[in-house]
Amino acid sequence: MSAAPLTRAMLVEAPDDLDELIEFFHARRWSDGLPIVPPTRERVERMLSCTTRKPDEVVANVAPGFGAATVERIAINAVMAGCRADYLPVLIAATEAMTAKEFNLQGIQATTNPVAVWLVVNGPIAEQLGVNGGMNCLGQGTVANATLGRALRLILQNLGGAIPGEMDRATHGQPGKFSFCCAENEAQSPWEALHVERGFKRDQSTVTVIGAAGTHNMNTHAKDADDLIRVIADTMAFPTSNDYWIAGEPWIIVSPEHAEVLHAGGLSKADVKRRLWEASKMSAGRMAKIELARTQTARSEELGPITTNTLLPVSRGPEDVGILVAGGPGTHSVYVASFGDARAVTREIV
Amino acid sequence: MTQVYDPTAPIPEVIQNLRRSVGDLTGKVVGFIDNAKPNFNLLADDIAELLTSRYGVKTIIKRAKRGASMPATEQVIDELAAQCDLVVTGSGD
Amino acid sequence: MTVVSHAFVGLGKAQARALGHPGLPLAVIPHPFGSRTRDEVRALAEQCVGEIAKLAAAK
Repeated sequence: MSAAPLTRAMLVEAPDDLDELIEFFHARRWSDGLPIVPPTRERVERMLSCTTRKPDEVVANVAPGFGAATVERIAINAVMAGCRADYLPVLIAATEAMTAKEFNLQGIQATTNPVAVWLVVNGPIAEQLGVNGGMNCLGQGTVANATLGRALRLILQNLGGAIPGEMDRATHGQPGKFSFCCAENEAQSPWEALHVERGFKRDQSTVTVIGAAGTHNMNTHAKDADDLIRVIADTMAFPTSNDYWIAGEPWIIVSPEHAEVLHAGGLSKADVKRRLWEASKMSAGRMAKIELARTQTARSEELGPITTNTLLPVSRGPEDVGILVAGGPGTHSVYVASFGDARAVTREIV
Repeated sequence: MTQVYDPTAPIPEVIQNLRRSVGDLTGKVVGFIDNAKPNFNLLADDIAELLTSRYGVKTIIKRAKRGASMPATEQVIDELAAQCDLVVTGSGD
Repeated sequence: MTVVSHAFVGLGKAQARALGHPGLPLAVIPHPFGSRTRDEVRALAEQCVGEIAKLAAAK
C-alpha cells in the first residue's frame, strides 16, 4: 500500500535534460508514447489558477483502478498533454461526465473493444478555446482538439490505471485513443445543438462524453433526404457491430452539407433519428451464430423471441441514435459505431 | 535534477477484505453469474453438475448478466449474496 | 471466485485489488475459451472444478 497522500500530488526528482526527462516519463509508463510537457510546479499552478475549485478536491474516482482524480491531478495531466491553462474546466467536467454510472467507464477501460472516449464540446466555450467543429475537426492541426483529447487519455491511463496490455485489454485500440475531441458546428447546423437537445441552454457550455468504437467515413453526393437516409442507414447495419447485439447508442456525425439536404427534405433532428432507426434494422440472420445467441440473451426481453428472420433495431429506440453536426465543406458524414454498453453523458463546464 | 509532479494516483486505501475460506463444499449453496461470454453458460452447467455429483454441493443457483461489459443487477447480487456460500463469476474471452 | 481465461489474469488481480478484495480466488482456464467445442468445454470443466474446490477450501 502506498503511503502517498490520496488527494495531494507528489513532486518527484527528475532529470534536468528534457530528452532524459521525457524518457523518465516513458519508463514509468506515465505517457501515451508521445513526448510530454514537464508538469512543473509553475505550469501546474498556472493551470490551477483557471478554476475556483480547490486542488485537492476529488472530482471522481476513475475506473478501473479508481485513482482519485483531484483537480490538481487533472491539471498535471493536462499540462503534460500540452493543454493551455484555460482548458482545465473542460477536463474537470469531462472527468465528472465519464465517471457517471451510465457511461460504464469500467467496461470501456478494461474491454478488448477498441472503444475510445470521444469528447464533444458545445456552447460558447468552444469558440473561446478554439475547439474545432469545422474542417478536419477529427484530424490534426487544432491545439484544443489535439490536447484536450490527449489529456483525457492521460487521465484515463494515469488516474484510472488503464495501462495498455495491463488493465486496458484492447485487442487493437484505435488512433482515437490518443485523442478524440471536437466541437459541434453549431453555426452551420439547421437543428438545435446537441447540448440544447440534452436539456441545456444554448448559452451554457457543455462537454459530452461518448464511447466510440471507431469512425467510418460515408461519402455520398445524395441530394435528397430519402436517398441520404437510405445509404446512411445501410452503412449503420453490419453484423459485427456491438450495437445490434446489445442495443447500443450509435452516432452519426452529419456534415453541414448533408444536414442541409436532410433539413431541406423537411426533417427535424428527431425525424432523422427516427428514420435512420427504422431504416437501419438488420436481419439477425446476418450475424454469426454465436452472436445471434448472445443477442437472444441480451435482447429477448426487449424484442420478444429472436430468430434469424428478426429485424433488429440498432438501439432500443430512435432517441438512442446520436446526431452531431460537425465538419467542413464536403459530401462526407461519419458513422460512429458505439461500444454498446455505454450511454453518452453531458456535463456543464463551469 | 528538477522537480515535476507524479501524474498518477495511488491506489485508494479501500478496506482490503480478507478472503474467507468456504471449506468443504458438501451441503453448500453455489451460485453462478453467467457473464454472457460465449461458452460460459456451458462451462457453468458442467462445473455445476460436477460440484453436485462429485463434491456434494446441495444447491446451485444460476443467474446471468445481459452483457459481458455491464454489471450484474443489484437484485441478482443481493439475491446471491443472501443465499450462497460461494459465487462463481467469469472474466475473459 | 472468478473463472478467468489466461489473458485476463492480470486484469483480474489488479481489479480485485482496486475493489478491496486482493484475495479474490481466480480459477484460471486457457485463453481463448469462447471458441472451444462442446467437448473441450467439458474437459476444461473437469480441470476447473478441482481448482474451484481447492480454492474454496484454501485458508
